[in-house]
Amino acid sequence: MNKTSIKIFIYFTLISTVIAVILLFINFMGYAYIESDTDGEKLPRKTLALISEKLIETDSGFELNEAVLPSGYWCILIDENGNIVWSQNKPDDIPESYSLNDIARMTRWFLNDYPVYVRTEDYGLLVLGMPKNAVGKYHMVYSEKWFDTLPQRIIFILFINLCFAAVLAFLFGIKLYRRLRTLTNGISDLRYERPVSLKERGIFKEISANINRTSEAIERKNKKLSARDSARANWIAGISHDIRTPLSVIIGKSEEISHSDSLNEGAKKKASVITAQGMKIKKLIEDMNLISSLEYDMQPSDKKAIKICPLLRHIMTDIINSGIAEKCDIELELKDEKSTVTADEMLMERAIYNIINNSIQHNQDGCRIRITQYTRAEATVLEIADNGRGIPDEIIESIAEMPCSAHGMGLPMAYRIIKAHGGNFEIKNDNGAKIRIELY
Amino acid sequence: MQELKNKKILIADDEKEITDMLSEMLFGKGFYNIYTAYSGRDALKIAGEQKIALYILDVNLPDKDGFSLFEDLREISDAPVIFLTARGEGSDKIRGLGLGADDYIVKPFLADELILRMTAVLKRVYAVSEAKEKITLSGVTVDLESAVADKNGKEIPLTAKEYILLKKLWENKNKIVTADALCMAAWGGEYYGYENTLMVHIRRLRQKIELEPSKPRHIITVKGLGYKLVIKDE
Repeated sequence: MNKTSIKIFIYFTLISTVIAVILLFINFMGYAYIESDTDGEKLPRKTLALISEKLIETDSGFELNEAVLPSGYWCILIDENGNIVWSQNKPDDIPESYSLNDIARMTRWFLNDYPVYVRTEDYGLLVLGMPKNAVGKYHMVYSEKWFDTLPQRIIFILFINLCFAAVLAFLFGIKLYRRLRTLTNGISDLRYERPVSLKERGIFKEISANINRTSEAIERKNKKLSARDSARANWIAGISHDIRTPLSVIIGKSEEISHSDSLNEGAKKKASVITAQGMKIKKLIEDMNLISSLEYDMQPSDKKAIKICPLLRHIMTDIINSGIAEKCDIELELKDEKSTVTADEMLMERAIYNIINNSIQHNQDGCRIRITQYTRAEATVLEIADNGRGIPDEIIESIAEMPCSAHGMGLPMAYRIIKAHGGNFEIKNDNGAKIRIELY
Repeated sequence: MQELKNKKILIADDEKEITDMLSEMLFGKGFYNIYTAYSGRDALKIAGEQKIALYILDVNLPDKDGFSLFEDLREISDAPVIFLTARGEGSDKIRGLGLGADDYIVKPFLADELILRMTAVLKRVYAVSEAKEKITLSGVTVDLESAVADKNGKEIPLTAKEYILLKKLWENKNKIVTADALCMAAWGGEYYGYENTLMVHIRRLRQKIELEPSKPRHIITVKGLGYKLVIKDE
């Protein structure tokens, strides 16, 4: 049930981790690219190149005619002897001559706290000064070993990042996972038409609300449906109850007439026909009522643990005593006397009776009927088989449907009763009809 | 038998047609003391005034259902009760007769069946034995009243269990009675566990009432189901 949420959660964590690592990688590359291109290095070097290009050597010295220096910048030219031979915007605190040591010190760093950049020309050393505190200059040293192990270390750092991203995604994802879980639970409850009431807040507010509304709608519809069904079942029960009273009177009176001494035999015979037909109507009403209640409530009302073997003997005895099975040879093989099933005894009796009676009625020339009972795993198995004509295919195919008339209702009714008890019902032809029932 | 028919019988059903028909029918069969009630209240009133011997109660009465009426009646009377029911309305409840009702009959019913059941209940409860309650077998007669078998002039008394078994078989003569029903009648228990006991008792019974106990002609074993008392003369 929660597999979906777990899947979504894992997917979320993976995606977040991958995104984090990709971002990290992009940022790293971007940083490296931008860093190599900062103004700190680029502008002074460009300016120096420009100056070296525009600087004109005349007889009286050097001249720079174009204003190429940005404001606050200054520039000097030192000759081979360490003296300034040309300068522009030179601050006062910059000395006029330099020793080798001075030059060595300033080339990479500062000159009197002015950050400086140098460019060597064959006529001297160009020094470009920037305003104080304009840039910081740091010197970095890396060993060859550092460069050798760089890929491993980058991979290691990436891996650490990956783990870290996964853990973070996991932690953030738990909350999402919980919400998702309630959502998926809600949806699966919907599927089984159980009432759902999710909290309508957070990012899934709208989805939760929709699920809740759907659940309410399903409940409303089911209520209406079951109200309609039970109304119909009650109506049928009511009508059949109402029919019983006049039918009782008809049967009672016709019976009385058929026993009357003052009538001739013909009249008496007619009266007994009325009685017999009345009893037939009675049976039809009972069937109709039973089917309607099975149809609409589907739940046998009075289920309890019943022993199947005494019930089978009772049904068999009733059938033999009633004389309907005179041409049939019925065998009863009970293998587990102790087995019990949870069932409505009256319905179960009806179902089994119908199956045996079906074999008898459709094999009027007689047949062998074999009833076997045994226990397999948790189930009580009943096999009722005959060696007669078998069951027409169309009846086997439509066993789950109720026939339109009272004729041929026996097996579908048995099927329904077994199904309403949560049992299995298999029907096939194998040298006669074979029905296998599993009950729990 | 006439003694039984003189007993007071109360029919409670809200359908006038049914009560009229039943009382007419019963009157025709010689039951002359019939009372009718159309509601639970009427039934209780009559039950308080008359010494009713048998109640025939409809399960559906306008003021209360037959089951609660039954419970109320039990406080003032111990007389047997037969329920009239339309199948489906608590018929399982009556089937178990867990309430202590004596029988039930499903509407619509055949008058003969009702009379038969009524008579059976009355006979059982008021223990009126008929003079003809003698089982005649080939060469042996059994007097059910005294529980004695007469085999070639020799009187052999039946034990209590043998008597119950024989009576149960006699009540269903020429029909199979399941071993379960016999065990329930004799020991109040299930067949499972009493199989051997039942077999032993049947064997002893055969020794007493069969001329050739090893080739029984009357108490016939129906393999896998139970026993049958075969009476030829009927």
